[in-house]
Amino acid sequence: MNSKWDKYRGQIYSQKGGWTVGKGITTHGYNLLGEIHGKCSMFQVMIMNITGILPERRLADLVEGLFISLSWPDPRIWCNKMGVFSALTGSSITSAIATGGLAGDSKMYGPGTGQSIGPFFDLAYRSIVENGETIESFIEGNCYKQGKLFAPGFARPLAKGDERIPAMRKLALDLGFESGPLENMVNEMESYLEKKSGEGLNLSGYFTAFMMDQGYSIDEIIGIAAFSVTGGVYASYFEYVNQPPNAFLTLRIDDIEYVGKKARKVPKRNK
Amino acid sequence: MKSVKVKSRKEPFVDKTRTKIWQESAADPQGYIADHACCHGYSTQSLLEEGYSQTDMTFLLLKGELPSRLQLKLLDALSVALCNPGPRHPATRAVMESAVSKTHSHHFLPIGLMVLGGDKAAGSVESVMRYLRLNKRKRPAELAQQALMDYSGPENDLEIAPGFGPHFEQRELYFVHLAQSIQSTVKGDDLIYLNWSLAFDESLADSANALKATALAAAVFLDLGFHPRVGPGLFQLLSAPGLLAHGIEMMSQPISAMPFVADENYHFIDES
Repeated sequence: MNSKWDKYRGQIYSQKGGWTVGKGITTHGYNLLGEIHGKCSMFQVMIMNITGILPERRLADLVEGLFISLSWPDPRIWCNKMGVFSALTGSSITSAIATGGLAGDSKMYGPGTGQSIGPFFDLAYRSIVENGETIESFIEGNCYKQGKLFAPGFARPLAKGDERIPAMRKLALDLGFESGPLENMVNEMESYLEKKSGEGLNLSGYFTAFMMDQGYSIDEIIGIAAFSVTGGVYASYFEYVNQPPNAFLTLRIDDIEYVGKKARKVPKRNK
Repeated sequence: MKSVKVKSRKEPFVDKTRTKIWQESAADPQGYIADHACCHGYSTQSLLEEGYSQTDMTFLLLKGELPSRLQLKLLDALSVALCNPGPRHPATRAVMESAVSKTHSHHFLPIGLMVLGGDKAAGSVESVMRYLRLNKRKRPAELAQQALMDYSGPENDLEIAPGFGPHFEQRELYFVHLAQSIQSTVKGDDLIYLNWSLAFDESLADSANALKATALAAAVFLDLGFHPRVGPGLFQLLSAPGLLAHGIEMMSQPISAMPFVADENYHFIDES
């Protein structure tokens, strides 16, 4: 008896491409070494491998700008700490980059926030742009939980305002991009929030809006940004890889405040 | 430009993946649905009904046989000793920082285990096991005496021998005490490597060096008959509960629940 799964037993069907020994590597219809290598940037190839379409060089350059704006060599940033801790235990740089990427897959900062930004921007666009709701009405009705601002793509930990956004806006302008309808909408939302509470758009919010205007899906945008935090992880790893083992924010025993149960007798085990 | 001709090696790959560990029984005529599985020949359902434990299953999966009473006691005891690297260990700190900064909870273990896998932690267990295997016929006191003569000092926690070294450049006895507890609790004549390691540690008592978690694990793994290549992964597995627990504790805390160094305490050093 046949099953629909039988066709996958021992067979691979790829829309992406692959390697045929002796003939070469095909990627999305291009010969990788003949047509892409030396002619396209790595970011163009990465975006093509996610979306299936080779983007313009200027879009890839803008994505590279995102990676640069996240390349802080500051080990206080949580994903960068993964680089430090990996260096301290002698883990490989590959392991450090992977752990940094996993830490950055966060609901609070970094590329992981795209999971909540995408649906939120969709809702805002439908309400404000398509159905004519005012910015004030939408924000007051949708962006507060128990009196606290909850607007994915806006605000960030540690500071109000995001110095990376003007740099990204300038880069986009220099590359000849005009802001699209979603970016215009989030800019208006930002103006309202800035006046009300001093909160602004965050980098993930800006990038998501820009890329949605360019026609990318939220899954594609998250994929493109997935490892955007790695520049800082590299720096933090290599700063600590040859440091003494306890040289990062050294902890004495009493630097950990124990707030659990008091010491108690271990009960006898029934054998 | 010289061109390169690429030719397939035409290596004879097998048609099917082989395993001695796990056998599923098909419940449907197409052969995709399982209704029963055996681990090294034992029905998982029967193992469960007979009350076998996670430690039994870990041993069975890795060794192919169920542990003896002594082996079970030994691996259980080591599981208690290694259950948590503690909140000051870099692997635990990595998990706590990730959790408080709201990564997904299913990332906690991968993050902690990858950091723990470094060659100054779990990754070194294989080489510690090989060191113990190589030296088990030598007298621990004589080997320690020679090692002390060759030792340049505890600076940067340099180990005097694989698995034996300082912590904060001092002799730390936490894992020595746990090793002694295992020795006195399990009381087997087969604890060749654990006995040797504790005797070696005793000979280092006047130095800054002591038996570390990696040496304790390596000795017990060898006494249980594990190959050195099993060591790093099994060390990670036994340390996993603590890593997970510290992540779970931090995941619902605000980001301010862990220290963040203020700008005035962050110092830029001029590289020139």
